[in-house]
Amino acid sequence: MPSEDYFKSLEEKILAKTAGKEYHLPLGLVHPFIAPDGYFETLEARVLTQASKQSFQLIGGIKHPFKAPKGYFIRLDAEVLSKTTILNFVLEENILHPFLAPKGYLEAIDKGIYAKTINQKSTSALQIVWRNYGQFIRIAATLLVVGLFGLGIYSNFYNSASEELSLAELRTDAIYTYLDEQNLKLDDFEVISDEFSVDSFSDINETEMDIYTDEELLELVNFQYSNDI
Amino acid sequence: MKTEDIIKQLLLNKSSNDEAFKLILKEYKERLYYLIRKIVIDHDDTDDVLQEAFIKIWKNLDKFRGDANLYTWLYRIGTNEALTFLRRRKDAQNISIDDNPELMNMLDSGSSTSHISGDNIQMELQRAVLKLPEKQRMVFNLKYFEHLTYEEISQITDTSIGGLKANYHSAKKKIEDILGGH
Repeated sequence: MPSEDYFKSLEEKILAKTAGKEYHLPLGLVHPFIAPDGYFETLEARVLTQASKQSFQLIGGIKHPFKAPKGYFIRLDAEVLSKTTILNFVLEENILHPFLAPKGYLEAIDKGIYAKTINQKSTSALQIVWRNYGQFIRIAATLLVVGLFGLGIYSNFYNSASEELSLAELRTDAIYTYLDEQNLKLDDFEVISDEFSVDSFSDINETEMDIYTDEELLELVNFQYSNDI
Repeated sequence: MKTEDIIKQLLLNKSSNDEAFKLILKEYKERLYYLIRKIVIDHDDTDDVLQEAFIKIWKNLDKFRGDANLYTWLYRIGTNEALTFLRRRKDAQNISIDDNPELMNMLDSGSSTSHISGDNIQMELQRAVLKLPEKQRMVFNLKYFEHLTYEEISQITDTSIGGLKANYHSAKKKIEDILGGH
């Protein structure tokens, strides 16, 4: 409840304003506010209580009660890294392959490939024959047999003919010498003794026969023999 | 003028086929070797397949259409010869075409010779690739190691580009899972 002085001064202030006069605040006036009873006596305790709630400070040196198992931190790094690796593996773009060609292989391979490609064209004719290998072998075998057979016949004929020619070229005394060495007698060879007697040569007498040499006589014999055939 | 263009020019005239073939051999033998090697793994098998591939190339020079890329045509022949070789052997051994136990053994045994040499990740990648189905393995090799475009791979494999993309990404995912330990 404001004091009596308040209202008295208020009246004067208002009248002054309405009258256009300046108002001067009188000295000694007090505010009209009154604190409740006992307010100031309890204020200090209340303030201190509020202040203590907002400005709590941890006193240093107090330890927490928790403990990690023995060796835990030693294993921790590896476990964390392995799990982060699994989760985050990304295939990089620049990993090379590990394969190597043997030394000198790539330089030398051309020759082998040429042999099977470009260079094979010059032997194409042989290749055609090679493809018919079985037939080729059969034909070759047939020709071989025929050839051998023919060769046998020819050589047999040639040998017998050459034998006769060889004999004809021999001197009579050589023949006689051979026969003596072999213990053979001329009489055993009846062809000569029987077929070629002096009587066969009607135009030659015995005396004249002595004139002829052995070679000439042999020629006469051969001539006579061939005519008789 | 690029070598491929020179070869195409030579192939226009049948009389110069031999010269064109020599140039093909010189220019592409190494690339075809490693293309086939990644499929059949073993060097001796690669040698057989490579020679067969070049013989087929030589015999079919007249059939090459000059409007297509020469190397995609060569890669197609090389790839087909390699796959035919593997299929023939697997038929003989009654093994599924998608299983590669013998190739895995070759990879592991070859690493002890001078014909295979790589660090751990290179070897692990090859083992992972061998676990892929045949088609995915081929597409992965062509895309990842040969760095071909999907258009070029499509010409080689006669597969649509969409199918190739699906194959490649599926292959890549599988490899990442394998290498990641899943």
